Amino acid sequence: MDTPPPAPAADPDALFAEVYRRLKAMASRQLAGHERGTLDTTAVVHELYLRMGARQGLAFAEQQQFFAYAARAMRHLLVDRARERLSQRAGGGWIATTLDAEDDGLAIASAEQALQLDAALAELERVDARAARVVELRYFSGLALEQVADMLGLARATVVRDWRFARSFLHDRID
Amino acid sequence: MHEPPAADTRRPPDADRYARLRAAFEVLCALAPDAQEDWLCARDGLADDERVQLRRWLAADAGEGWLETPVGGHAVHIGDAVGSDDRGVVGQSIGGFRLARVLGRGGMATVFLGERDGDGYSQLAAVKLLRRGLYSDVEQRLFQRERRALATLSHHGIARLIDGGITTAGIPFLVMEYVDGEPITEFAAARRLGVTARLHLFVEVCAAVAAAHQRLIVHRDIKPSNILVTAAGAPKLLDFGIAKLLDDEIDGATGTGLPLLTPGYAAPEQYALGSITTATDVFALGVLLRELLVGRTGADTRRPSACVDAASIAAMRMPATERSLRAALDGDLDNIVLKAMATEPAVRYDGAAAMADDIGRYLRREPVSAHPPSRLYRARKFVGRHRGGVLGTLLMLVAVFAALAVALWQAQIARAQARRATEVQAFVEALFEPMRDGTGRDQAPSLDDLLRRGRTRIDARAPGDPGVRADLLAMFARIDDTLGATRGNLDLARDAARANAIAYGERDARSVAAHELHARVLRKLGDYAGARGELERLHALLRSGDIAAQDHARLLDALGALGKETGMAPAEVVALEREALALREGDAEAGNDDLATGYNNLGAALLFAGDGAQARAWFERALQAYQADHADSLAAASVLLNLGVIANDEGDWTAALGRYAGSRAMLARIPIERHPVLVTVLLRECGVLVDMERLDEADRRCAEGEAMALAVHGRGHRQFIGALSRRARLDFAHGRVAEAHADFAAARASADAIESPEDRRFVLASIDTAQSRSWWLEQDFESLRDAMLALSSSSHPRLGANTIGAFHYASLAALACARAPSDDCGGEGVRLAAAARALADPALRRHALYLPSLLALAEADAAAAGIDVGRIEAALAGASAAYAPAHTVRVQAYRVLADVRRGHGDDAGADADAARADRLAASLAATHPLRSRRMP
Repeated sequence: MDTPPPAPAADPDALFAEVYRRLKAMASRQLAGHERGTLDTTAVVHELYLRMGARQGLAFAEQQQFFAYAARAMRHLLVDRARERLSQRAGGGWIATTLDAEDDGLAIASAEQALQLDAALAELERVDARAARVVELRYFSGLALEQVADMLGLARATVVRDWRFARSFLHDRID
Repeated sequence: MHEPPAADTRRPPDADRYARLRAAFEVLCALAPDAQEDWLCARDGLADDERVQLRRWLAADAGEGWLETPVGGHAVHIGDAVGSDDRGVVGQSIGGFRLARVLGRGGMATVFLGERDGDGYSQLAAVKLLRRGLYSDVEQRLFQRERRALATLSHHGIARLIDGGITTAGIPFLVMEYVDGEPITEFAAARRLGVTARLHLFVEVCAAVAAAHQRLIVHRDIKPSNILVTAAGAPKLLDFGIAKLLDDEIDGATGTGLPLLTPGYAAPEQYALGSITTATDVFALGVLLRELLVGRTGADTRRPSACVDAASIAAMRMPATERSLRAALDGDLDNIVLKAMATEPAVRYDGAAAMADDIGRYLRREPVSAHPPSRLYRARKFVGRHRGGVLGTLLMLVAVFAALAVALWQAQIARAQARRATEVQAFVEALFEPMRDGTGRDQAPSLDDLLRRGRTRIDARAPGDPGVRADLLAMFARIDDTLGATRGNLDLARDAARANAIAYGERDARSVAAHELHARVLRKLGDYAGARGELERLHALLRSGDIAAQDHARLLDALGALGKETGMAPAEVVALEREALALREGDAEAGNDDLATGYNNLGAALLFAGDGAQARAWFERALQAYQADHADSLAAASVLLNLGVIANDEGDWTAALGRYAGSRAMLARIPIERHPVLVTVLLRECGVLVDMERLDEADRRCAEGEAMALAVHGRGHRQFIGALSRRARLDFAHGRVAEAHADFAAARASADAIESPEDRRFVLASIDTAQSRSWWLEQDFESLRDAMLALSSSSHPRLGANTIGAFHYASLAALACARAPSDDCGGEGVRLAAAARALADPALRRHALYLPSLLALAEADAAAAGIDVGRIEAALAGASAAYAPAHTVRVQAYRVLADVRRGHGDDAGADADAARADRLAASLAATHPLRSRRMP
């Protein structure tokens, strides 16, 4: 595999926006190909990594940074999608002359869950930003806890504890 | 390294409290479950609400939640393709391990010794290869999910799952820790262990099983050959959870039609194909304990002390006599084994931990829970432990009872969540057990199959917890509804509504949602009265219930949407949506999106009530609110679509086209490439373009719309039927008359298959309106008359006087009745006069359908309808936006003008108009009816 060229200095917000834009495009392409509209986020994140990291030579000095961005972007993406679905259900689906959208109860349920998770995660972020970061990398980027530990430069035991706590915290808020 | 944006690192005000709680949680996690509550109670520095919070976290910690599995998963492709013949496999490399030799062969898998060379050392592993591949997506996903769950299982008493995956050939494999040891019964015999030593060994096994049960992983196949004890005396469980992982294969592999189980160790519910839970393992542990203690295998229901015989003791090489063993077993150990092996899972221990605890109590001479809890018994045990100096402690005895009762009660609450999760999980997994009839062995069950089985199972083996039953029924009803099933769904939806009301109370949001679903199913089946009744009850419930504002508002939306189709008065629908909007506006947490949704839905209600002007204002407001947060969104695109619909209904076709195109462009930017909203946008654009005879654009849009309607909705859906009737109109506009007839016929045939009679009527009427122009131009006045009369007299809430563009169809009815009178037309000229009166409304002059309506009446009888040359010329001049210079409406108009002029004796003018009409018509296809036929 080619080594990426040296990274130019880049504005983090612009980078994040770029990751988000690409993620969104890839996710929607993937969704378009699926009958039931399931999103394989882990695959999307990894594919994006290959594309942006290896080919585009984007300013990701390190893998760590990429996955941190991707996890955050994936979280935003899922929340946006969830909002769209919910507004869709409540909104334009019911049009006076032609009735179109047969709302998908299952998708809506998971959309609601996605929004709840986002809110609970924001809550966790407020009191324990590190644990929230662990959740993002684990849940949204699909990294193993060992990888998460590497990414964050933490001991594995710390990450395991963070994860166990964050899981309880989130489930308690959501379930 | 850049930090990802947005993380707020300011120290929150309650940071100290949080830090304290988190530290306490970590301490608690390190404690055994039964010690946690003691710690919590003994801790002085904790406030009551903090204890409650900690208990809730512990309860959440005990469950295996959905967070465990990362959102989405990805299939692993590791190793080489492996065929079903394992002889050729030795020497190959799988999951990084070289397969050295076969360790054992089972019914569905072969186990190899795997070797991996590292720096100066060699790692051994047991590599298990399935005989059969997992070919379907569902199978592979289930396998991967389970594998991930098992990979998190880390306990010194459980052989670790090192790796696993699916080879590119679809063959699943598992790499497990290689354990060098002997089966527990052989180990006990070889070391000549006595009862106490065997019990200690058994408690260790229980501890390992309990660790898995804590994560809601069930072994399913506990037996001596799966429990190896190392030379150091440490028992290790093999194949944890593997049974479930492989369950799908068994049917195909053995052809017995039974899931994997080991006779003698399998619990009754495994034979009965019931739910597999932690209690299933407890049963097998009971069998194992009996075997360790009396040397007998099998599900013998006699007390172990009654099965003791010299031969078995000799075979077990236990240092005991018949009498001493019988005495040791009699009482507590008998009770423990029998409790574990109870036929009814609910009577058994709550898990391996509870069983180990009881044995621990026996070893410490404390009262065991397996014994009937008589006070005398407890007291005897208590005295047994505190021999001497006991008798002043009656008070203490009472305290012990009280503490025990409280602990049990609290444990009950903490476990309720976990148990419900287990029940639902077990239930859903049971659905994926091999199909017993119908489908082939290699075929994954279809969603329909699963639903059918799920329903049967809920009926036959209702899970004990009413909440579980309610949740399951609601889930199946929802899935069924999504799949579009109807007839069979009615009972299910009704049962779900009832079960939810029983489990959670009528006023709970879940019950209300279940009732809403029931109403929707009733509507789909055409039982409008039933649906209305259900909706009105719901509305009353909503008013009196305690439901969060946003949920409440959403349910009101649902009510309104259903109400629209079930004949609810438009004013009532508007009132509902005003109520919903007020709720949203009154909710401090409502965001722009929530408010926008409220505006949009009120707009849609007003549109339904015929107040287009107000509706437009609300839609505009909704668009603004949606775009306050995001310039582009599906919701905003939907509002644009709604605005287009209003413009279209008001007869402003160019404005409508602009809105539709805006909506389509927004969807493309998001990007949404396939969606019901996009279907509507495309089909509506197609319709307007056909109306305006912008045929090149129409060709493109109609084809796109039809393809997408098919992809998104399928052939029988009304949107696809709508696409067919638009294609027919397009055919006709091109002059392909025969194709148009065929397409209209196809649309009608599909519409006839719509199950709900109300929907069927509506779709058929829509096809009639679509075909009205071609009947007119072809001068098929009988068909036109029947269709238009039926339309105007329809009692359907969205037809009759409520038909969009009703004035236009009334004028066509008047024309058809003038040309082909029938009894249904009423008195001569009555319809003409009424239609002419309606058309005199000045507000209609800007409507795109005004000109053709005027022409229809003039064609019927211009004088009687009060139509003169000036009025037609004015209408022609006013319609330039909708009708291009070569539009066929202009051909009609000049021919009508020529007739009217001729009637007034203006032959020169008449000839000039007729010539203009013919010049325009000359560019039409030879088969177009306007090409040759002169208007009479």
